[in-house]
Amino acid sequence: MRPLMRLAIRLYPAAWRARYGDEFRALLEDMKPARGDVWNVAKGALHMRILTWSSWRLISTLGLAGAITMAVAAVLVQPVYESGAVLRVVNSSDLRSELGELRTTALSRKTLAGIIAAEKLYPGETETRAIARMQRNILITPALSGEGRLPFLLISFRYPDARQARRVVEDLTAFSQAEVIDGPVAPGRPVLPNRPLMVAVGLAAGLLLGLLYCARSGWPVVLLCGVAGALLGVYGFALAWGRHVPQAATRPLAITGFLAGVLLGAVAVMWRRRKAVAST
Amino acid sequence: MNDPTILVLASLAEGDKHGYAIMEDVVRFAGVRLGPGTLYGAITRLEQRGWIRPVGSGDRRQPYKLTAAGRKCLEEQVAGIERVSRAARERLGQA
Repeated sequence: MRPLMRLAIRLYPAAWRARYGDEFRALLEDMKPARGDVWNVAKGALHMRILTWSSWRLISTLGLAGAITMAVAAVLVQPVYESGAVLRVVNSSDLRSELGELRTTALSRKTLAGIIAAEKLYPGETETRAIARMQRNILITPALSGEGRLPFLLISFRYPDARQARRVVEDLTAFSQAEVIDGPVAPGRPVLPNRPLMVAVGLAAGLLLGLLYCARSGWPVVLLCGVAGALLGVYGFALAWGRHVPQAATRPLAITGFLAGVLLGAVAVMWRRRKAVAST
Repeated sequence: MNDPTILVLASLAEGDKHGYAIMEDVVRFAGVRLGPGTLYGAITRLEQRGWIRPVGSGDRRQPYKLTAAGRKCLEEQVAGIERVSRAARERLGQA
């Protein structure tokens, strides 16, 4: 343990080591090492480094660390494929009833349990959990398109295996009376994870954390926290939901994120000021 | 009561001590073991605030001394703790 602690001393800033290095080494030689001491020394070194860094260096380092963490997570996350089919309803007046009927039959517990068993989906999960996950990953939505405003139905399903995703969409389209005009295919590329988005969210989260930590210069920091919060609100939602954020939801998400960021920033500024007053 | 800076100040109120002696003393009077990183983090902060200062030593084991400002700070902290402690004791007695 002692060699590891001696190694951890190197993590301290050079100026600190020049001043306290000798006596710190003497302490490590005298004391009886305990579990957690290596981590304690490393944590102390990190704290000393942070104290000597400028605010901008700390903020940019945390931003970079957030981006790198999310980049690593993006590589490790299991890819998800989406297969879809487009169906045309003969009469536009039938669209609503067709949609209701399809949702009732195709999304029923009995139907989904049958598909899960037949396609061997979600291995190792209970039936209830598998059905809930499947319901979240199926999208059945109407779409009116073209000059004649032809009524279409879109059916899609997301799953880690592209071929199984396609077969599930085939099974689901069988429940509809509508004409399949664009059949499901096994997608070549995954829809998730959205790696650039994940890196952007990691960067924004790291910057926000850095801003909150350095929150001593008042309102500019609060405002920056608001902007970072708004970005996190919109892009974080897209990341969690795995789909594009609907245009109508963008503004409420941005406003909520901005207000949450401002609130967090203001709390951080007040906390830092109180701490500064208490320590004088 | 495990704020490392107060524990170090309380230890040095008895007399000059180096890092290891502070660590042992704190275990003895407070039952708290300060990790080496925590102890030297506290020593660094206290020295920067002028509450302790190193005293001459030919050894690598650098002893520290409580300054007048450090003594005043410790007295204020102790007075605050005593106020809270007295109020808590009274309220516990009433319950």
